[in-house]
Amino acid sequence: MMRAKIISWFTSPLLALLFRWCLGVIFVFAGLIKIADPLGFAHALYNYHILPTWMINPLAILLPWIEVMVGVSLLAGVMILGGALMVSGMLAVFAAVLVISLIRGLDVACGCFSTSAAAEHVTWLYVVRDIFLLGMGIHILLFDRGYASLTRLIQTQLYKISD
Amino acid sequence: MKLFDLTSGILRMKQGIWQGVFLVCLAAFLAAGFNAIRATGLPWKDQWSPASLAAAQRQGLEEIPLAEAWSLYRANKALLLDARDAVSFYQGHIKGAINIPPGEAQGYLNEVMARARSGQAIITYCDGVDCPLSAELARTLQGSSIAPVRVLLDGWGRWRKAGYPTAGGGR
Repeated sequence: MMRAKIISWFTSPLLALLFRWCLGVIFVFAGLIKIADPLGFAHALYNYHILPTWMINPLAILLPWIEVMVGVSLLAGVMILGGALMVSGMLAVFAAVLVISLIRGLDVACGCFSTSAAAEHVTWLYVVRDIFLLGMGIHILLFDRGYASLTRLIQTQLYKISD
Repeated sequence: MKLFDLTSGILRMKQGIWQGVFLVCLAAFLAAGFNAIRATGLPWKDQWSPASLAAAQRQGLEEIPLAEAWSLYRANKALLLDARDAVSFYQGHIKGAINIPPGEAQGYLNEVMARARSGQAIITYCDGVDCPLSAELARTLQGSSIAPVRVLLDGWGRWRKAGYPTAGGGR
């Protein structure tokens, strides 16, 4: 009985909604900071020495907007599946990049929530934080039922009109 | 029941991928548009390859070919300034060079000025094509009206490879 309760709590769509809001705010915030300083973000990417150099600028232009788009998608509840999939995919890639950099012994600024090279440098804690967020993303993929979403609001309004 | 879950799972996944593609396209559209109209937009082309980094550093500076630096050096008409840190300098440098990290340039102005007046060519160098120190030092010196200062690009590496005289130890 207790076990069933715990399971139902953990798989609750309400928890997925909470995670959606968390990740949504985090991604919109992270994206806007990078949009404000594209050159700083490009520099952060360059310092990782992991991308071919021709990819740095295009990615520095594109990635922040993708973060904002998926963040808005999760917050508003539009295309939640796509948003959650992108968020999880990106977090998985970020985790891989962080792990590779730590193993290579690179002393780089994260470029996660700040574009300054003087910001705190990457540690294993960043990987833990990333994987925690990844867990939230996967939870949304599995258990979200579209609570408090714009999509559902529009659907119910359309029902009312058609009635 | 199990099979149904799997099918609906795959369906959801497919739907998610399409939505993800749509979100990325929308983001790309906005990103490209905003980047084009904003003042601080980045160029799409490669700006970070060693060659283009070096080109950006050289902007407004004169580069000296290795052959010319070598002939001036042999004629004792060159003052070579090593812009790297003291440890790298200690481990090895061009024989006769002075170690001046860009931040310490102010303390050497008089000496460099005197050598320049005596007809010596002022040449800065550091290690690697994308090393910014030699350009930085050249700019600082030029800002203090020591001119012309020229940069020997990838100076340490090319000098060593050519087998020209080097030395170790402090100044």
